Amino acid sequence: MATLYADARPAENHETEAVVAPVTPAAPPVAPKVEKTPNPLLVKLAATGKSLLAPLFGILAFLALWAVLAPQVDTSLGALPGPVEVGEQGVALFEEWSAGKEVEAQFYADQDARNAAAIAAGNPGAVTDFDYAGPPTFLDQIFTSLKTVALGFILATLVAVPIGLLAGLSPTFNAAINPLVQIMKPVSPLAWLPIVTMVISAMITSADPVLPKAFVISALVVMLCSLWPTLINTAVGTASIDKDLLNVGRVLRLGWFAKLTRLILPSSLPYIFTGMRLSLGVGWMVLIAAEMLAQNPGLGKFVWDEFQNGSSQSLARIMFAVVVIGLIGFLLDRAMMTLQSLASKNHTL
Amino acid sequence: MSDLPILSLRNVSKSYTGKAGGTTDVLKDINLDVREGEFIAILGFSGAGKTTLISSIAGLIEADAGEILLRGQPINGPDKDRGLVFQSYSLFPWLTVQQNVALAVDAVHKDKSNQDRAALVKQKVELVGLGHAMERKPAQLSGGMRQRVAVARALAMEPEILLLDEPLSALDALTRAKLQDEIERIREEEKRTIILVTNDVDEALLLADRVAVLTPAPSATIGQIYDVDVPRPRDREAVNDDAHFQALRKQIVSYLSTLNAEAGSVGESSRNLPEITPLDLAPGADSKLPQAYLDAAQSPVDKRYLEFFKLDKVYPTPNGPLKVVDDFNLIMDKGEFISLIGHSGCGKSTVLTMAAGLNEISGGGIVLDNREIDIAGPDKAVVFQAPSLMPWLTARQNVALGVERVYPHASRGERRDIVEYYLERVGLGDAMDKMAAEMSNGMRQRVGIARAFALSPRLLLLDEPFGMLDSLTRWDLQDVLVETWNRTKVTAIMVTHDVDEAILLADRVVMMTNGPNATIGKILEVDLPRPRDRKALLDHPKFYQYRQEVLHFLAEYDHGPAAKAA
Repeated sequence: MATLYADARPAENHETEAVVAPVTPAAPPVAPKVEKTPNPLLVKLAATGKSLLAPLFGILAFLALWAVLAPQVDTSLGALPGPVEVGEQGVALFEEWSAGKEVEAQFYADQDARNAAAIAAGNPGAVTDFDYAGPPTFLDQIFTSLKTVALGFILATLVAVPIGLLAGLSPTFNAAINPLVQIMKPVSPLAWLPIVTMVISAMITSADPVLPKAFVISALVVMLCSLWPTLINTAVGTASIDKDLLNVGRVLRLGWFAKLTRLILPSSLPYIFTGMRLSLGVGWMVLIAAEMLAQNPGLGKFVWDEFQNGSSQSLARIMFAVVVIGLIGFLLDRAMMTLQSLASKNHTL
Repeated sequence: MSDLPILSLRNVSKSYTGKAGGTTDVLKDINLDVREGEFIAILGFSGAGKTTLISSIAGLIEADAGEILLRGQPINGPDKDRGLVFQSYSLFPWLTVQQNVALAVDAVHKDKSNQDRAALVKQKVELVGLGHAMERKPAQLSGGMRQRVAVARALAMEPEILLLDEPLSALDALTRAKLQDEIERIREEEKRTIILVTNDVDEALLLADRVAVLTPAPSATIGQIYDVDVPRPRDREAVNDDAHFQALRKQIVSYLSTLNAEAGSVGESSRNLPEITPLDLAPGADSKLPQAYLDAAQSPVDKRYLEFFKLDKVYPTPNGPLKVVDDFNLIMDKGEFISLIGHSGCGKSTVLTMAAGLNEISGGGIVLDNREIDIAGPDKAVVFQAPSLMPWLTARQNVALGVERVYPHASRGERRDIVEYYLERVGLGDAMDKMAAEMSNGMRQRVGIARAFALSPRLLLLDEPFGMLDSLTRWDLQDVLVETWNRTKVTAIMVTHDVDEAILLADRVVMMTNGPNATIGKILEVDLPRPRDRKALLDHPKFYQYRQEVLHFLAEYDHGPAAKAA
């Protein structure tokens, strides 16, 4: 065990030495200082290059396996597409989007021309102001999905953080809500959906609501499922404030608001952000299912429509959507991770 | 002892390359010869590279330059001839004591029969006095017991040299003393060569044949080597009277102080403290009292400023209520400094937290400046054992938090002056805008002291403020505390279990008996001139007399329940 402990450091040292070695100038150094500190940028580049190598290899190996194995699986829509077909469909989707944009621009240009002509002809009654009603393209659907998840996530945070703070501060309140939280937490979005749909359909009755029904339903389902990690983490963070720090608060006789803003919130911030990161991950996962069933025009609906469509390109398009969903989820997580590490900075002694 | 050294270090140097690419020289040209059967203590500041040095000797780290020779042969990686005990216990939590030790025995003594190995395990575990706990898991052991297991494990490898890397620094004073005796006994019985790394002068002097003092990092090297020619067995109390011991202790302490002085400690403030009275957050009592009473109370208030009257504390336990503090009576004058000393668990911290208003009083009462203490407030400032700073705030903001609270009527500039005055006083003039998270523990505790003084409290309470620091940093901070206190003369109570600290700082040392039902056992008046200086104090004949008195009291009460567990 002794060896385990201390071995870590020398090993690390060797690694950095190994990285340093190739970039150190081989020529005899003029000043001894230069020899000891090689260009830090080069060192960093070398280190980054090394750290990228393994992931790159992994991805290439996966693509190769996929390309070899996929054609051997036969479905009713033909063989499973390989990476090349999926890539082609990605390009096709992008072209559809640019074509769609052109059509839309043309539509508005035509409408404006018609209107101008009508006004010039002294007939203002003929002026029309229609919205473009073409089918949403893949990129539009991505944006719809992002908006939906953002709304659900913000709602979840707004609800979860105050409840979590309260639960962390009051053991009684925590005991009261704990069973409810534990029971609601594992419920699948698919189970919530019918209930939310019925309630929202009853509440939104106007023919042209501010937010489309399907959008609100999806966002609410996202909220219901992504609430829990933030709530639980906030409660844990609030409950685990250093007792000495609370005593400092008592000695200074901080009022409840000062205590909340200067002591409790800052000290539980890292926990809150950890919870929010988990929540966003859950929310993005739940979203696709919610959109499929609620018919919210996002990525979920895209996948569902392609599945129903059943053309020879459908499978490739769905696979492309899967890749995009994964990438966006990854980026969202990375963004939250950055926020989380910013929030946790200087929070541990 | 043969003439040939069993271990010799020749110009050993070691440097680390930081993440940013810069190099730090940790050790530079270390030369040391260790004779067989000798006990050497390596004494140094925290961060001086003591652990690097001992890891190099153990072979866990390869030195950059120089050589380490074991019986004339260069060492090659870790081997069974050098057994190492770490500061953290590093036992396997899922194995019993017996299995933990057996693991090492099985790995090292492959050639021995099963019976021999089992016997060896048993012998070593019994040697450290844990024969009754063979089947227990580390989680069921106290800190002191765990460290004993680690010692047994190292001994069971039957090393030629036993290396101890601050094995006691994570333990409380009483357990430390017990284990020091234990190490002394093991040295006596096993006659092994022992190298002990420590930051405690007394520990080094009590145990070692020679004390090697490491200069502070960077480029730590061995500054001085002292021969400890005090006859064995050395009794902690008796040794205190030994003139030779006193002289040696003084030499080492002064030498360390000169090394330390270069780092700088107490700061001077260029600022003048603004003349503002702090806001009284506990008003009310005064206004209700008749004027005649107030007039009468005005004069004696300096005499009986703080009064503990028949103070009790009862904690409910599953086995019924437990009276921790029983009938604690004490009267303090204004501007008096008292240290509370006693064994761990004797309820000294309980008394302190009750005085702070952080802990409910079960019986009796505490009256401060004619008001009964019933709630915590800034007029009773506390310096906690852990620095308890808000890590997300800078030093300045941490102190300002309290200053804003008690000086809401002061102008922004005046408040800033108060904050900066006290931060400069504690020697943090250059680090005011440093985040608490980026500071060392010693610096954090300085901020904690500044925060408490900046509240201008009626009563300052210090709860083992330096307990978490190594003894050299502790000296620094004691100086800071003495210096800051000399200027304010605030009435103060400090809980401690460091005898020197108690005498250095206090007007009276209050010794508490062991809990439960702890109360005041003895009060010692410290009649030493102020302002006090550590070096001058060590020359003062009365100091050793006081020290002796306190040590004797503590030794007398050294049979509590804690004594057996350790």
